[in-house]
Amino acid sequence: MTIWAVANQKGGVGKTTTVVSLASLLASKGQATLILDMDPHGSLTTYFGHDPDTIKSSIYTIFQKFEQSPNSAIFNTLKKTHYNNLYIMPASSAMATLDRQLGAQGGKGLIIKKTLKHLGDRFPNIIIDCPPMLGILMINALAACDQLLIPVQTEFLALKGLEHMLHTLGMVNHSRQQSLPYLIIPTMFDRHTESGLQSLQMLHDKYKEGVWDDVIPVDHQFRDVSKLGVPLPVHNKNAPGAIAYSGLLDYLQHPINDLSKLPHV
Amino acid sequence: MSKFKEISSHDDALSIYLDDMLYESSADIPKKPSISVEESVIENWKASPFQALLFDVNGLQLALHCQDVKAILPWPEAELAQRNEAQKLDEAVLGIYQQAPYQTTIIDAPYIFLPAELRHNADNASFIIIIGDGQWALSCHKINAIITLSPEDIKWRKNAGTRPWLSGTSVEKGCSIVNIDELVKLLI
Repeated sequence: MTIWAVANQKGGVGKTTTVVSLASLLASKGQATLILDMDPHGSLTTYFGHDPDTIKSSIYTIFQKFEQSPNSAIFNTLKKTHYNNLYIMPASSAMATLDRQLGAQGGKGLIIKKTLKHLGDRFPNIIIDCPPMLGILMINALAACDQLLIPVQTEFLALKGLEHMLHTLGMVNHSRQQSLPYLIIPTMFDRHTESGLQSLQMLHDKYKEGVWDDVIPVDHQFRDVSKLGVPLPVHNKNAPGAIAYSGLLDYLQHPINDLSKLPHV
Repeated sequence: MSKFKEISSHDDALSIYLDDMLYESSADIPKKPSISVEESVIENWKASPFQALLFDVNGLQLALHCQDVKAILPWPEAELAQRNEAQKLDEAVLGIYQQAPYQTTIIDAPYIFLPAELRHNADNASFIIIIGDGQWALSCHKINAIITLSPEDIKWRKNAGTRPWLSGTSVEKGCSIVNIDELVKLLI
């Protein structure tokens, strides 16, 4: 079982698009895949046809009930999507209150790690969509995952946000006394703009082998298919964005690119 | 008297919060140095002997932890002949060195380390020392030696003062020890 978390404390960098694309590609290969929406905003949940404002069971339910009845909490929360082999644990808006409700109760950053352990080997692939802020939800995701994927929009402000994310990761590692391997994924790359080319160069100069050696290009079809709630690789596997994510998945699953060999903060 | 309780520093607050989140009880929390991620390297210096590069900036002998030295190159006069606009923007910048695999901004070391009245007498640099992740380099007049410094022989500074880049001094070796992290913060 491999658990990826997709995180960046800057919003709008392509986190949800990365989760949707990678998960649909894995599922289309016949591999059971679970995605978790840890963002109370619920973009991933909405993508797959649920309403985070009205949904009855969500990851909120896990936090509420896992300690008392883990099987029931998981059973109620796990939902099949319209796509074969692809399952989701959706978000609800109430998750935004968890930090306030749980405060700093001991061990509350480990709920999702325990939940996924409970699922055993049912899902060989699990991808967690993280919220764009540090709090109980992001900490749970970072504590549960084996590898961290950090999408970074190829523009200067986003590079600054990346430093912020890596500092947070450093703090989490310091607390866990373990380091988590990460891979930076340049997204929304427009090779026709000077700023895109420069910021990609800066990413490689500064983070070297921590950066995936290809890019996810700007592709307007991502926006179009999000309205339809269809993953781009399903809608048009030959779209430039779909081809790029397919390349990223090949990279992640290739034994030679074992992320445990990649930089640790 | 203030009504407000003093709150923890940024990294301390995060560290306490994360420990609460990631351990079931306080007894499970492993003992860790209560320092921030950025401070960890310099704190390690204080724990065990380390190798340092001694170099000279117009008579001032400075020491860099060897771990912070990425490369030492001869002064790239030819490459800097056509100095770019960056020099005009910041008087501390001597130019940009762009030769694969480096893309480095060269900082005028006398400007950073010497008082204003001594800067104009500074000799021409002979080397550049590329530091940290390679984004910055220091101009340097002379490379002196690589030595081992023992933490107990160093008088560590407790307060950053007006020279936050200065970690401490070694009377025995006659050098000032440069904290690269603090230096880079000044440059950004």
